Amino acid sequence: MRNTCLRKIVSKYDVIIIGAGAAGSAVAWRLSNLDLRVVCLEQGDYKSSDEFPSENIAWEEKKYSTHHVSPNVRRLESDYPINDSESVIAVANYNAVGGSTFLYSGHFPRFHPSDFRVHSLDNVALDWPLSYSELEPYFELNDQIMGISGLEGDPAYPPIKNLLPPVPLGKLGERIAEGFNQLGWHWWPAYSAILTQIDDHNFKDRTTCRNIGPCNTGCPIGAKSSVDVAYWPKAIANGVELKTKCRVSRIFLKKDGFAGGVCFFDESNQSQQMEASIVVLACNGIGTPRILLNSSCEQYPNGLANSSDLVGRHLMFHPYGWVEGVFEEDLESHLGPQGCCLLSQEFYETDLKRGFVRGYTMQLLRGAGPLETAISGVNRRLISWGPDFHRSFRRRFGKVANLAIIVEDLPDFENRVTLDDHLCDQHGIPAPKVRYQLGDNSRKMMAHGLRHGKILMKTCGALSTSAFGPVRHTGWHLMGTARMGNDPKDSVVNRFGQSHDIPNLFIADSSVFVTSGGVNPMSTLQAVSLWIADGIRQELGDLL
Amino acid sequence: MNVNSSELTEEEQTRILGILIDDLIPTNSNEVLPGAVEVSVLDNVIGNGISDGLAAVLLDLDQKAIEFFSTIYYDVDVNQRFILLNKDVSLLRKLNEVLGFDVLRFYFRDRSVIEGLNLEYRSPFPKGYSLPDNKFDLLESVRKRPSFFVRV
Repeated sequence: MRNTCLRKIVSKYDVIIIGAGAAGSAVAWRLSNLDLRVVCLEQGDYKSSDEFPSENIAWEEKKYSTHHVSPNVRRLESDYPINDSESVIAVANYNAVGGSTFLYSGHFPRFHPSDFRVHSLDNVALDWPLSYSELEPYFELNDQIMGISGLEGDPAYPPIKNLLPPVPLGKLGERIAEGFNQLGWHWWPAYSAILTQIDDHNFKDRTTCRNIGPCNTGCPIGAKSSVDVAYWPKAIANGVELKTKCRVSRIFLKKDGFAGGVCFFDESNQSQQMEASIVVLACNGIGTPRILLNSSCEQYPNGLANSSDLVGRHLMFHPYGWVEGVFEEDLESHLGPQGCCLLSQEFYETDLKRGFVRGYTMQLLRGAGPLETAISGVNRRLISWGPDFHRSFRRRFGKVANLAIIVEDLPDFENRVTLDDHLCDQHGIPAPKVRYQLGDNSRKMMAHGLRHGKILMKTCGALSTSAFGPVRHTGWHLMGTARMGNDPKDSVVNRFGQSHDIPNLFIADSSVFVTSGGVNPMSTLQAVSLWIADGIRQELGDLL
Repeated sequence: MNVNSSELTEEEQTRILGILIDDLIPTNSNEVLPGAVEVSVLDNVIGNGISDGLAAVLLDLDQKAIEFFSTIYYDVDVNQRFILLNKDVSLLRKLNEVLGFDVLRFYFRDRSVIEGLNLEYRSPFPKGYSLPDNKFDLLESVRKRPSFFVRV
């Protein structure tokens, strides 16, 4: 890769944000309307609703090609390859305006207060340098912008207010809820980034969910709260510039050791340079360390912001277990938002009698559509080709309940992102390489979750159950690779996402997570991003 | 096919493919859903182009028919064709890879199949589905439970 940028753009911005996904959009909006020149560079492009397959004749097929969760399968121009051959979990992401919220299911629970105090409570990992109560106003603000449905009164959480009505449980949800009740286990309607209600004042440019699914190939009607419909219209209206098809290759430094701006390839594949007073990375737990490591220079030969040698380390996924129950009656399990139905946090907080620390969430998923049902059934030899095809297909379609076990992953120094020695993207920028294996605690937790998931399915009356994990193509949650902390020796950024090494460089994505929690991270990630944006606002006087 | 030939003609490929697709999702008069050949799966697969991998599997099937039943594939009885397929797990796996996905995706694109499953056909702007209202009385026991998150 070239170490310098070829052309220079004269225009200088106050803030450059790299990445237009969940984190970048929240930061952009929070910094808008402040009389700042804010620009966001995104390697992907806008996705128009007619590119979303959900309303199309081939609505399920695209999951296997252009809308696959893995960039190594999709291989779109906007993607960069990731060497995940040494990881039991493959990275899942999407590169576009909206980032991975384009493909996410919209399951939107928050971290628990205990998730920020893991070391104090369980003597593992580190505590976060911020608390749930500090983040609470940002959770609430983010919920307002995104549009979150759910139900108040959940005993698993501190009070969560101002939710839209929950998504429908459907026959499937009711059946499984009855099983939870029989066992005396907690369950609650899903916290969902899916609109169930709009009015003249709120979300009037969007629409409510029509239960057509699948949500994870993009929502063409704007019912799912991806950030291209939730944050970006507001940020752009407030003056933020969003430049698409611009891939940042590196951050360059000025002579004073501060970040000077970025080198990037523009939509014509021309190498460009852009200057700014503040640079904000928001490229997720893989893309962010990739850029920092690719930005090595004489002063920082091991990559920017990396004096602690922690950039890329402590990568956390959520190892994902899968429990399936097949029922006699038609549960219409394929109807409704696929990832959002109900959740259980019965096993979320530490109970040492279980043989591990921390815990996991059970997330009830809807069943698959007909094509996905058939493909997975044929591949697993549960649906037969030939005279029994229709009968064996009907035994599963609409009758399968799927339970995801979302295991809290503890940080491990050896689980890391580095640069691949050979693999590059189409611009010649070195690709990331992921090395990751499950720790002992995660294995025990996974086994516990799978076992208890099967108990649940049997209690609900499933004819048959199966369980396995970790599932390979489930690396959506990419955390920990530039963690925050008060001590520069054991963290990359401070509690406001500011690099310990380079004061005008901020990281605002899930790289800064100290621990992973046992729940989908999007709600917490965006609250942290808004918190970091406010940290940047506090520093403006010194940095501009 | 000529026993000495190492390749199938296009016509032979099409004939084997037609039989094979009919075997995979057969027409059944007792079934609401149509068979694969009734809904243009064959035309779509051929229209999509026969890949080298698919051509190799078709040739393999034909050669195995000759080896085991001393006759070309499309003259073998349907039951024997299934014996042939199920005899060789690696062949079945290859078949799934090179043909299975296409058969299924074209099959489930068909209006009669989708409507036969009581689903809405996905032309643009589908109306979607209504689900029953939530029964919140199911939550009664959970609501009675004291808060159990760890306070810090």
